[in-house]
Amino acid sequence: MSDSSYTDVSNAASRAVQPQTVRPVIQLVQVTKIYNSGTVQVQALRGIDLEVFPGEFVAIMGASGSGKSTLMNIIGCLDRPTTGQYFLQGKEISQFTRDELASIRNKSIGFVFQNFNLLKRYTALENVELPLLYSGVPKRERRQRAEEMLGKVGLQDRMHHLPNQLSGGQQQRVAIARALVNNPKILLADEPTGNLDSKSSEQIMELLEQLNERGQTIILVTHEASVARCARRKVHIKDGRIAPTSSYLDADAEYPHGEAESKEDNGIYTPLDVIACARH
Amino acid sequence: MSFLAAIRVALDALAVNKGRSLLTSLGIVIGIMAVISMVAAGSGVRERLDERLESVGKNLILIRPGGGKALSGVPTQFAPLTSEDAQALRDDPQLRRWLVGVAESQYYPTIVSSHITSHRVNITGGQPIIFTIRNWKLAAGRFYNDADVQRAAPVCLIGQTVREKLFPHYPNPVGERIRAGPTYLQIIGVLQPKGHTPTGDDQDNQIFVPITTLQEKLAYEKRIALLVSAARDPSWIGRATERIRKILRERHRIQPGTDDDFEVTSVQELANLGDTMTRYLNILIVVIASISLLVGGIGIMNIMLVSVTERTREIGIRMAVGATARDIRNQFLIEAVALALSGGLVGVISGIVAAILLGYFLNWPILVSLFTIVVAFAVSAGVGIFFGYYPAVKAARLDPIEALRYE
Repeated sequence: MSDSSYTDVSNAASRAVQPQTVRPVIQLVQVTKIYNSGTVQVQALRGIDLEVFPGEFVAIMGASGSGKSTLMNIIGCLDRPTTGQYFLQGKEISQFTRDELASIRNKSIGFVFQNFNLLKRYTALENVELPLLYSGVPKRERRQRAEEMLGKVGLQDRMHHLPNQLSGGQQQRVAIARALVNNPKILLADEPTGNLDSKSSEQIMELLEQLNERGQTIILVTHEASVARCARRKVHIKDGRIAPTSSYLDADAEYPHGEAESKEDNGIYTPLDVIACARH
Repeated sequence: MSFLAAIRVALDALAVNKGRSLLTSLGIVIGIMAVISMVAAGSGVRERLDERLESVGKNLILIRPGGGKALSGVPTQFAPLTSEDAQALRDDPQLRRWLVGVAESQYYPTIVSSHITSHRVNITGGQPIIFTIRNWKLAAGRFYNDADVQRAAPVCLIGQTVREKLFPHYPNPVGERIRAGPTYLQIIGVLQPKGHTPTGDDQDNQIFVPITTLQEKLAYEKRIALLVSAARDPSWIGRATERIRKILRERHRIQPGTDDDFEVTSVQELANLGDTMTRYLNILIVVIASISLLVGGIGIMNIMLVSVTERTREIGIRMAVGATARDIRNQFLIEAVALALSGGLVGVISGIVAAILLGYFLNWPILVSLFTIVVAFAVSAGVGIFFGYYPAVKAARLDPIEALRYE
């Protein structure tokens, strides 16, 4: 795992103390989130400590209502924690303004959604260009980078198709290309296979794994054990806390991807369990 | 996001709903169309009025016998004006300073014949000074002079219309003779054209003769129809008018509290009336325009609010990939302005077409000014910004999470 892409030098002091340590790209310290819906207070997160290191492939798992969506929104800078700290590349961003968060979403985070969230009126190419549009990249470069990225996800011959002219799997590839076009530090995928058939799901998961092998940090949010299997580390969220069943480190070396573990953790088996991860 | 890119994004969005966009901007279209056509027609009419007032002479002061008009329009007081009255005005030192001169004038409508044809015409008898007062210019020949008046010389000057009628292929009929009844008149001059009066009379359909000639050889009548005068400067018209009234009231021995037995009017009063009417017309235009632009603006606000709701998901997606609140606000603001401006454009074009049609069918002159068009566009853009702001801010304030979840 290389940290060559990791360029932040703002925290020189801590690096001096631990010169050999790779610093996390994401670090959450006692993050809580409380929603005030009228008179009722809902505590969605009750103190999350989490570190994600460059090049990791982490799955965040949990049942609906567990707080995993809230956690994803905070990691994705769509929302701010109520208390606690969130370091992104060493920068504390929990108190950033909306515009500063928009800039981080634009440059440091790439989103992939369950329902693709492509703009219907725009072609695949224009959809991929969108993040570059908001970072003020000139038109020619925008086009070139978007074409390149679509090529990488295997859609070089579908660039001028509208989303409704593409299959679900193809749409999700466009979304992945859009998420990656601005070279984000983190790819944040929220149930990326939730709306896909098993074959397309398999292809998308393969693509994510390839990207991870090339060094892309990926955080995958899912409730399906079979999908999470492809990740090298699993973080289970239960009642707003990280459950003790989580694997706290990159478990690739220590833990084989045991089916038994997944079953115990979730008690969920789906047909998608038959999907074999490309690596295995 | 760059401004140009923002404009493209906004125009793309409008192009999707062409029909709806058009209907939305209809209020603006009608408002701008009304303003453009009414201003064009109004200023065209004003221009023609000014032109005609100018040709009559803006400084002109007319003194007519008869005054104290009752509701019926029939004078309640009447005394003829005389040459002595005219002389008294001429002799007054103050009036001499303010006025170009005072000329008695008398009219005699008759049929006049040349060796070619005959024509119905108005013969005006006056003093030589009348040409200075009325600002007539010669096309050929000479004016009549005091000597001609003295001996009631059978000479005349003709206007351009008269020349065309009596001598159709004769550019310079000086020296020719024309006949009015039993009297022969020799043409000594041809006048340059002046055009129509504000009331539509053709000023060039006139023959000018010395007043004595008219009284002794044509009309056989000595009653003066009119004293014609002109101020040297427009600012003296009011004072001169008052002075004339004072002198004539004294001469006619009119008791205080009794109406004048004459009437002093100035062309400037007519011009002032034109000014007042133009002012009221402009107020009316502004009121109509304001109402229709208000309605148009509310239409734009309405459709933009609908659009923001419809595109909540899109806004969420844009925010997720890094659009700032400002980017979103600008996108919708530009859309609103583009809607209003396209309405303004259609309004300007249809306004000009309407004005031209109006001018064609009512035979009115039309004057479309660039200034009005620029103002129309500026106002359209202003309406777009004003009424587009609230929906745009509403879009920009959306919570990205909720916007993404919106179905």
